[in-house]
Amino acid sequence: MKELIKVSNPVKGVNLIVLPTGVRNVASVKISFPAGKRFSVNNIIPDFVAQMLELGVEGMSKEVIAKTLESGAINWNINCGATWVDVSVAMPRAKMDDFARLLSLMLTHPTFPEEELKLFKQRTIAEVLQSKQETGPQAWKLLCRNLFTSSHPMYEETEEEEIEKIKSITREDLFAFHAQFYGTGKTKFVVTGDANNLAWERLASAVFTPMREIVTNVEQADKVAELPVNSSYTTLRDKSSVDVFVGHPIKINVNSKEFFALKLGLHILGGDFVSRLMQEVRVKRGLSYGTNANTSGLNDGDTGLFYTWGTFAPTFLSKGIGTTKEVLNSWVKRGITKAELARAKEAMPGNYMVSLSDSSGVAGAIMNILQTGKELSFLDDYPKIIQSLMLADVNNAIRKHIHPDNLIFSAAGNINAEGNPLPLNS
Amino acid sequence: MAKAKKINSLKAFKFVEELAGVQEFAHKRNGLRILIWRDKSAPVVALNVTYLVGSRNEAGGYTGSTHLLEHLMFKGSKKFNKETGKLIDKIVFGMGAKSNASTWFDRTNYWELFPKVRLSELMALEADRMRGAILDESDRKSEMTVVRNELERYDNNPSEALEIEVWATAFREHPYHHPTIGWRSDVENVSIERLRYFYNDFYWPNNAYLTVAGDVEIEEVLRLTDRYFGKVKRSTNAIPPMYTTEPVQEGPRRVTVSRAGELPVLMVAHKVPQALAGDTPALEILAGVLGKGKSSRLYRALVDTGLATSITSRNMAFHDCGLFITIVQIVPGKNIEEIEKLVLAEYQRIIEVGITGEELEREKYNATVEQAFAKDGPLGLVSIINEAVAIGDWRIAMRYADLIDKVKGESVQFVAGKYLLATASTTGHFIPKQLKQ
Repeated sequence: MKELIKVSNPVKGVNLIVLPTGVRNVASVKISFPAGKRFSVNNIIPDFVAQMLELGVEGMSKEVIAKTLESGAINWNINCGATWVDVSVAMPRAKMDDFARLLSLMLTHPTFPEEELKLFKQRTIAEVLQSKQETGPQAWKLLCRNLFTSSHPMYEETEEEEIEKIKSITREDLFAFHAQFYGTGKTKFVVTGDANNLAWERLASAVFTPMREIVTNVEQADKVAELPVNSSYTTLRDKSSVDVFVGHPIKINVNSKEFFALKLGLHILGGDFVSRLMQEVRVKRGLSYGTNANTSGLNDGDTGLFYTWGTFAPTFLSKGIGTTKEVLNSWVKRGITKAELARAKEAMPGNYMVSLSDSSGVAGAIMNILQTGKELSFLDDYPKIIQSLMLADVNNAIRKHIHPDNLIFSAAGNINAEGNPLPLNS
Repeated sequence: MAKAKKINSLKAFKFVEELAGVQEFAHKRNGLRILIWRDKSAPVVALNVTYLVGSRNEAGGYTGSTHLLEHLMFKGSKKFNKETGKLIDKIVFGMGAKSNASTWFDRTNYWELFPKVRLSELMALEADRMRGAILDESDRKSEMTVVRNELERYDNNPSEALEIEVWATAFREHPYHHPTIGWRSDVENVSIERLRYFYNDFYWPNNAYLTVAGDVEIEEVLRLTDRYFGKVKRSTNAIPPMYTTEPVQEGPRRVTVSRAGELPVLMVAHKVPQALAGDTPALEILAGVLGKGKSSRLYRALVDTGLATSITSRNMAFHDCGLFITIVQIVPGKNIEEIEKLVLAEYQRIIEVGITGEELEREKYNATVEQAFAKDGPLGLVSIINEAVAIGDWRIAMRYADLIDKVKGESVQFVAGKYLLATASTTGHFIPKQLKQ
């Protein structure tokens, strides 16, 4: 695949990757730059800056912006992560000029109108309140709050703290953050689909030439809570199912062979339907609709999180957590088997191949490569890396990085502070 | 045409037609219909088997059976089971395929997206479980609690819980009354015998479509289809028809769900006809104009003004009939009745004045682009074909943009006036109860 990719730097500090795929007349675009939540003490400001780009630019109100995007069938999404702001666009090839004009104005001349800020605050506060009634987000937030310190990007505040931060944001905060972090320097721009590299080079040049180059340094975040940390239950009334996370902090280089060995181990633990967790918790014991295992927050070199997730009826909660821990303990103590290694060596490359079967999937994979500092040859090399792993590589990585004694859990649902079921519709 | 003739040389099949690159064939002996789309962009294939059975084929006592059966279909079949050492999930996920199954009102489907070299193996698997599924009581027992937890997860979400109540209120006699996941007590108590009856009534090649898309050759797909599915006999009995119709609604209906929560939710639903009815494209445009995207009228009236966090309007038309639904997530402290009036006022404005040319063109252009993206990878294509098969005509999937393009502005105004009637409405409110934790 690498030989089909066109790489260029239409502007200093902008890395453009264009890969034509089989689809006609449409393209998938991903743009990423470091202006995420870690760059502000009030970590909601970066998110507001990103989301409010759509709510006003010089010479265009939010209505005109929405009309330009939607009349042109330009599907615009923006997400603000810990480090990166990720723009994801699905669009017709014929609307490149409209897209370029709008993108340029958003990146260089947002207006953050006062009235829009007020409305956006109100809406965001409502969404924060809404998340209070969702078992998954509540359990996740609780785990992260318990495991990381407040300066860490993985730390999750209470809803009340979030709302206070939202209320305090001013237009001046938004302009100041935008001026400091929106520029070229580490901008990544990926286009796949019906894409001509020269046309996209022209577009990128027009959009990014007026922007100044910014040097953004990412300081790795490693501060976690001091052990021991307690497990916790959160009560959400009238919920039929409980969400549970089990996890602990983890530090590992995502470009190391050891990381891929651990990922293979995680695939066996909770990566698909035939993983140990799914087989034991769902298939054999019928305790849960779903369970899995993964890592989060490792891409930028930070200390991240190893976790498993599961969903259980309140009456099955205790059994569910117990079974999850049994499976985890056995996985760490005994490691994976030769047969499991062989299965994962086939499944993981196959899964990777099918994830590249549409233009958005390919663009996402390329963006991940760029953000984690890998070479583009990784697109072709990934299956070879997985194939090269030995049983000892995997089991050593598991034992080195996963420590059952340090695992804590968080559960949210219709349960009391001891984890016992409460009556429904009370 | 030359290609079609050549393909007809595979005598087991009848070439039916080709539309927008998708070729349709029928197996002469067993009636299985096959749809094939070639796309060499990536060395992968998507395979989907659609059975024309969904929760519309259920009744009280065994609601949720279609879905529970879907779960049991992964437990093993004649050739793929514990004894033979060939477990369905181990084969599918072992090759790195993406795979799942789903059940809805009108259909059940099983799909895989996988490296192309595994096509033969997966065709064999799908063919074997079409008539050879092992349906055991022990599996039903363990899977029942899994499905019940799935049901509980739906129930966790206030919008999902309200939507179930709205459908149950809007449809009194037609089986769209009950949710596809089923009523809890039915899910818990349905017998394995009932599930076997259900399987034996509906899982036949003459009640199924096989769709294969991706890096394939037509002749290879047909050869494999004949090799594996060709052995499966057509049903000896006729597929049981579903004959219940919903009587005309004679007045507005309302339903309220009140439980612990934070944000109120409003649903305004109106009856619409079957998806293949001629009014459907105009209703699709109406849904877009009212509640799809930030330019839509309800977004501007409710979200841009700080009354709601989100809105969406959908024309949910199915095989027999459906609902045109607007869902509003309301900002705390705002009055749900007032917001309901604003939604209805926007409806009324279209009934009286119609939509603008700009709105019409926007919706048409978006449909064209959506259609182009449908061919971005094989899984997207088999997914839209699956839904079109369910409503009764796979060709709708390939003609969608053309059908939308033919709609005139007056037609949108006409369907708004025809279907957005108070007498055909069902309104749902989710009212959060603030409880002491």
